[in-house]
Amino acid sequence: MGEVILRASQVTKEYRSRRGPLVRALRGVSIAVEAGRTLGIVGESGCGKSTLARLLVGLEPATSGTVELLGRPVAPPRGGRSPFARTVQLVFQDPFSSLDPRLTVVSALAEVLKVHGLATSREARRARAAALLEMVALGPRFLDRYPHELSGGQAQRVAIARALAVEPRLLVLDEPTSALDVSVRAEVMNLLVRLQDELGLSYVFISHDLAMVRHLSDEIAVMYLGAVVEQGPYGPVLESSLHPYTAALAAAVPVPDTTRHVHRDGRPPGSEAPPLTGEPPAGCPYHPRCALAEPVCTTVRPTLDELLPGHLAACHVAARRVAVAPGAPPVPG
Amino acid sequence: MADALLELRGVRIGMRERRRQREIVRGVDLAVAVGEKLGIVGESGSGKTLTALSVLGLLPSPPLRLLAGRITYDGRLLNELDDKALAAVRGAEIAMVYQDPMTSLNPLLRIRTQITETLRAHGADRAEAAERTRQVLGQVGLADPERVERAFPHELSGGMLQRVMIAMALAGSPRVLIADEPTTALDVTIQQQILELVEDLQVRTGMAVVWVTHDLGVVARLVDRVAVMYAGRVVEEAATADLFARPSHPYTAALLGSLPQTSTGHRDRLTQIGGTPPDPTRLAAGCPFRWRCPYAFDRCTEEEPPLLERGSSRAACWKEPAAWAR
Repeated sequence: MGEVILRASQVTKEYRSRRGPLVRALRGVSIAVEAGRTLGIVGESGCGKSTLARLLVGLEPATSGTVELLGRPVAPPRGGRSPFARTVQLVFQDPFSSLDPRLTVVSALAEVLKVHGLATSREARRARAAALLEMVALGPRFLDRYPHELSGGQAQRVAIARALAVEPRLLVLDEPTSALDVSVRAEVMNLLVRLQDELGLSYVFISHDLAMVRHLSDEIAVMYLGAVVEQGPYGPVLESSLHPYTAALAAAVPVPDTTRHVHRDGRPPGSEAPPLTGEPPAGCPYHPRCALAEPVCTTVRPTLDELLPGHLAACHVAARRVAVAPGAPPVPG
Repeated sequence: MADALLELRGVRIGMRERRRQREIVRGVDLAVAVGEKLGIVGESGSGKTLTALSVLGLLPSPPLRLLAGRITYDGRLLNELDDKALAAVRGAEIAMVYQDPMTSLNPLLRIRTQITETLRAHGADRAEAAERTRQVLGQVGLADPERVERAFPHELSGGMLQRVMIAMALAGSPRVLIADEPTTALDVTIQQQILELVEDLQVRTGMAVVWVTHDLGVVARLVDRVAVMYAGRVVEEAATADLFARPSHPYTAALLGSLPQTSTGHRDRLTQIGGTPPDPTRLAAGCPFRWRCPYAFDRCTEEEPPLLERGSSRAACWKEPAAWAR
């Protein structure tokens, strides 16, 4: 096992409002990211994946549990800037809303360098900005452009360059390709792979696009209603899923290949979207949508256990099937 | 096509300025038959949404307008109907579902009111309208149709609203459903339910479907025939299976290559399409894809290719796929 860059242990996050119920966005999430590796996080909207992203970079405090970066606990900055900003950076979905429309590319990059005291003179900052652009395969001619003069793919590359300015160890990428045109997504994905190989970066890659998550991630954590329900290496998690929710999610992705749509894929994952707020039902939170649910699932909440080496799932049915026949795929395909 | 239910011929959409005309959709021919599902694929700015909006006279006008072309539905020329006649077609015969449900529902009215209003406008009596509203809300897989009926739009999630929009579109039992990225903002599980619902209805009622999307996965899953749009024109049209097996336009081939597929190795380099889609109002002469095309040659800079027959497909490319190997 390599060096652990980031570790979250039993993290919970609750939001209280004056009126209305307590919202429990995260219910005890534990994840770890090793140096140079990618953890993919998938799940439907409302599962808590973006809340987790904000906690991981210290933008918000956890209600309970700990987040540690390089062994030091992460806390949100009080007033000033976070001491963790040099270690972890967040890249958002929409590059245009994360770039100041009034700043040229060089000013946006220079601002970061200045704040962190990374380049003292104006010339040094410009030179460093040009070098950062080169890392994301943009030429020096982009230095003096404004965000509106950039395409979506170019703007996202500038946002990545800005995140790299502080030489972080970890990037938290929250849907980094979702706002981009199909033809430029590949370019950003290739860039992320190259940067990881060259700089030894670690990534937390959050997306609802399972094909992209599969492509980039070493490990995948599947979230449902604020909790991780399955976790493990990308291949086993997506291709021989232990949790019926993962299987349903993977089956629901339309594959761009007509030869694979001869039959209707998978089982319908249930008739209702997960509730965005309020309490999930007793027992397993997935049981109302689950085709395999048994009486025990309505009363006892399953724990996330290592059912196969390195492969965790929170499912009574999967746990029993693995115990009975360790070789057989637990969810009928 | 003789049996076309809805047909677009030479559709041009754009702005008329003092001296010149700026076109965003530059001559589109499309047709959909009874019971057929047509996909329109393209990236942002390709003109796919405007093409869809033009059918029911819903272009944001001014500044945009139908500059030329004929839109025929069941023998009637839609683009020459007056507002009243067009309103009778809308909803009852051709229904449209938009990408963003929040902007197409009235925030001040209960869901029930909005659906029954549409039905009443097309001649249903109060009891019929109420009955049909309950029925369609159940059909789109909403778990608690009675609650949804009484709700205001802000009380529902995005997925629920999109299903309400689809229910509303289906309430009038239209013969053509035009859907503009209706599932793009939704989770894949909800998307799957909606695709299944549309397929079911389509099989049961013979409704024709025009599905506008950028998602090739949805195309593979849902439609029979695909039109790929680029820079305001259809650059390839083919049966879905043919398009995926043998793309006839380099842009289609590049789009397919840029997606991680089951056969793509983990972290392998994906095929990039260099550059970005052009602005269709500022095109130079020649093929608008030639800047990004690995197979472009002299002719491509001189003359924009028309849609040419390529086996069972049509593609706007001077080179046959067999000649792509430079």
